[in-house]
Amino acid sequence: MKPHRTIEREHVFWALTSLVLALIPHASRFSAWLLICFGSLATWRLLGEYKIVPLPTRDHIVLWLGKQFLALAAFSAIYISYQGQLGRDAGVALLTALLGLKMLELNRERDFYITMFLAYFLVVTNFFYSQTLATATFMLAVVMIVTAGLISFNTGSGTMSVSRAIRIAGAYVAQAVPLMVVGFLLFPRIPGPLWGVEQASSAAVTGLSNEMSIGHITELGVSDEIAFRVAFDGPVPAAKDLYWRGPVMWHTDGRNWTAGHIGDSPSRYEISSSGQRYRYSVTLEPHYERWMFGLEAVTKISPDARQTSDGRLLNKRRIRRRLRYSLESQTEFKSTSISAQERRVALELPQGYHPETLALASRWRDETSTRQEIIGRALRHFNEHTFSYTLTPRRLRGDTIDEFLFNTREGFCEHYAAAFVTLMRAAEVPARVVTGYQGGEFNTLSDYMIVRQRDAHAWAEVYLEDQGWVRVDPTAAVAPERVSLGINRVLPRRSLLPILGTDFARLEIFLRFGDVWDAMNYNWSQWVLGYTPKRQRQLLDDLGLDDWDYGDLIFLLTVGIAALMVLLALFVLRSIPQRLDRITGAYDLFCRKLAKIGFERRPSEGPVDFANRVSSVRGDLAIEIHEITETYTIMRYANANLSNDCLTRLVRRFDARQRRDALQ
Amino acid sequence: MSAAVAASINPTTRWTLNRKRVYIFPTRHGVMLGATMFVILLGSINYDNALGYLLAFLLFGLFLIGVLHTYRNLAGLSFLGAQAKPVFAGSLAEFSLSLENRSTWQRFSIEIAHWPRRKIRWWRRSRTNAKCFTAVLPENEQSSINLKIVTRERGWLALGRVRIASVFPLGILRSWGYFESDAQCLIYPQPIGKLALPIRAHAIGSNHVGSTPGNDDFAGFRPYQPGDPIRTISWKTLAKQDALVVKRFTSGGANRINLRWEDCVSLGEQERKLSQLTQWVITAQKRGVIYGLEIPHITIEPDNGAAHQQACLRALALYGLA
Repeated sequence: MKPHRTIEREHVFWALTSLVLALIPHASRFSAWLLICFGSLATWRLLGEYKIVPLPTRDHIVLWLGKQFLALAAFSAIYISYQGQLGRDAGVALLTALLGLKMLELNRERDFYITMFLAYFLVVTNFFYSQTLATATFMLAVVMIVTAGLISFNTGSGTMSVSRAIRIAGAYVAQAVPLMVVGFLLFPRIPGPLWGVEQASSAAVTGLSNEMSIGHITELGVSDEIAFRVAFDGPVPAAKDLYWRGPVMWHTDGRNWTAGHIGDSPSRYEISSSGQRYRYSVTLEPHYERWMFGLEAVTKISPDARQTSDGRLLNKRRIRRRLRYSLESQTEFKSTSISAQERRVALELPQGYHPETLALASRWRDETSTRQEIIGRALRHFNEHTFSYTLTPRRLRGDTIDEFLFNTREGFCEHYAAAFVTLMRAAEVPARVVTGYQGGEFNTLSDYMIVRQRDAHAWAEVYLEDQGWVRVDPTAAVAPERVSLGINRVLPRRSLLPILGTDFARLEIFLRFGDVWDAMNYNWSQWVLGYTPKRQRQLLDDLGLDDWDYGDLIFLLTVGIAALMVLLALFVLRSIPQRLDRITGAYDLFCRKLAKIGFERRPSEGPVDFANRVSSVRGDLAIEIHEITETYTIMRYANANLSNDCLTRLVRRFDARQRRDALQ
Repeated sequence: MSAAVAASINPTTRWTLNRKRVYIFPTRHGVMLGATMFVILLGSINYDNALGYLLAFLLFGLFLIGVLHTYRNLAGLSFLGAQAKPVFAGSLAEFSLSLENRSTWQRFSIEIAHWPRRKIRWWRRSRTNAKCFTAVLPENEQSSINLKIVTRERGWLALGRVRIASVFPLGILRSWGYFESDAQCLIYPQPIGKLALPIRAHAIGSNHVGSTPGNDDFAGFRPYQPGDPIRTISWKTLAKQDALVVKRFTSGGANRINLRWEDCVSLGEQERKLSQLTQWVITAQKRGVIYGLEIPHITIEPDNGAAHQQACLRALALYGLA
């Protein structure tokens, strides 16, 4: 007969608190009706707990039927709103509705355990959406609360205060953390999914895209979100050389620029480079596209990536999670190749667009003899006329390029890059738009660089017969500080200004705090999120293990956990009455020795009775037996101050078997 | 009263739970948590979710830590002994177990159950016929816990093996250990019987059932014992000496009967006879009748009082057993 614990009011509170906490991060993703549904079910249970409203047990058949109907309605609503696809979002919604209903059925011991374990499970569902350090910290707190609920439930009602339960749970979690670390580091990591993983998330992701239409990069310009981080191994290039190459736009319809597939050809991106080599590793935030970013021009790439003929780096798959890769670049380079097809595309302009631009370009072509001169004219044009750099340009109507070049004359990198390439093509110089990031700022605490979405940039490349593709950044002609200092010096940090105003001292502190937080996040992404099978291999190689297989790893894992458990056992079990155990242990050994020669101590027999019985048969052992028994009883019951080893020594020396042999 | 106490606390039968005596195994809920952990781990491998890995291993860590803490909740507890007052068969025997917690921490939800050695039948969910009790044992203190056991047969009921278990702290693991106890509880026969008190047939020189005891043959005083009829109390002595004494009568009259084996012959079975005699002893004691007991090999001289009743009941309980 096991004692079944009943569900008391405090347990309902524990269960509800656990679920609500685990659901908080999901709340913004749920539709309102689901929140209302869960909220009202929870409220129903609470009111029922105070006997204000009856709970839908079978005694209240109408309410019970109502509950069944509610369940059906909730499932139908989920089915309809997620179009019958049981994906990630629908799964979490379904689980939430189920848990809401479960609250009404929280009657037995088993229900409580199921609810609490599902709360643990809910914690995981959050990780499909967010894996930041903040999420992890919050979730650790939730695990603590759920554990405290289990502890409280198992101590019996009213025995333990809430704060004590949480304290104990905190201690358990703290003790479990070392085991977690060992498991995390040494559990064999298997690359690749075990079964099909759903397609890219429908969630909106900021970042560069395959398309560029003027006005698009405006949004990126003000986003503080991190695009990637770079740790340099050795020298760091100057700010003006920090061009992180991304998608290359070849095609235009007069308004939009697209990448197309022209540059995808597998032919090698032929460059000849010279000068300083830079080695660095990039930790890229997921952007759900395949491209990777590197400093122009990349000379050595990681094996998972390839370089296209227009110098982009492409990963094998879409990048759905943080990706870390190492590269080598040289900033002085010459890219030499162009195919006939590429040349044709790089000169293409849509029919009937930008008449004024075409006219200007043909005048320049007539007036100059070399392509370098044409480029110079174009840059001078931007510089001499009243062009200005702004992130909030006026809207362009009609023919965007003509409007920009001859009317508004204000814009940012995209405008300048698009207009410049259009001018070049009109002047029969092959040209293309390159997008990516320019600049980056150093974290003051750690030696790595952060590149944010606001560093997004667009520039141009023109093909010159003797030099190959040459980078021309028309923005630099208008706002040179944008390139030489990075966008942060050009733009204020918009998000901070309303709070901090002009108080620069506080601004500094705030920035420093931001750096600490980012440094933590960086290490988090390096060691936790970026802990791939490859990293694991690297770690073990660093530990000096060669040629290991999964068997070795499991052995190492077992040894590590066993060692930790021994340490934890020494800590947790440190104050269990030990002395008594030593004494009984010694006496047990004595009894076992006697049992070997046929004297079994009966369960109800006291030590003295036992000694008398044995001595009456084996007079030769009597003295020793009585000495041991007396020592034992004194130490055991009189709490006499005898040396701990006294009994152990006597018992060890006692040899019943040998005496008997000697007697025979 | 001392005769009724089956076993007193015997300091030499102290048992302490140590590493060799504490067992530990996951409960059903532990298996459930294990399944949850496994699903989380599988999901983490599949989606390569780093935080999923972390949580799976954190739960795994909690599970392992739970082993230590569940053990810690039992380890070092000592069982000092048990005692029980006699009861009638069919009612619950109540053993009072003395447990000592010598450590500096509280022990939570300690489950105690009677756990007789039986052949293990895995399809039987439970091996005990005793109710289970949970208790909190405060630090550095002795506690006594009452364990009630269903009784069926008369005679000595040995407590034997007691299981002490706990699922604290998380309910996912159960640790347990056994105490061997030599405590016994005397079980009187179940008082059943429809036969009337055999006064008419065996009362010497009397022809009516005496509801009022005779007072002809006054035999002196004896100290009051619980259960003595109030009307036999000597109120005069109480007033004079402030001592509660009862008058004793050795009357051979209507108030003096012998409860005899032969009177129950019509009942056939031995146990039914013993039940009837038990019933009579209780009735006679209640009515204040001076009664004696005559069963094969045992004769108890007529008397009245709690000690006398206990002696009679004991004789009936152990008839043919000892």
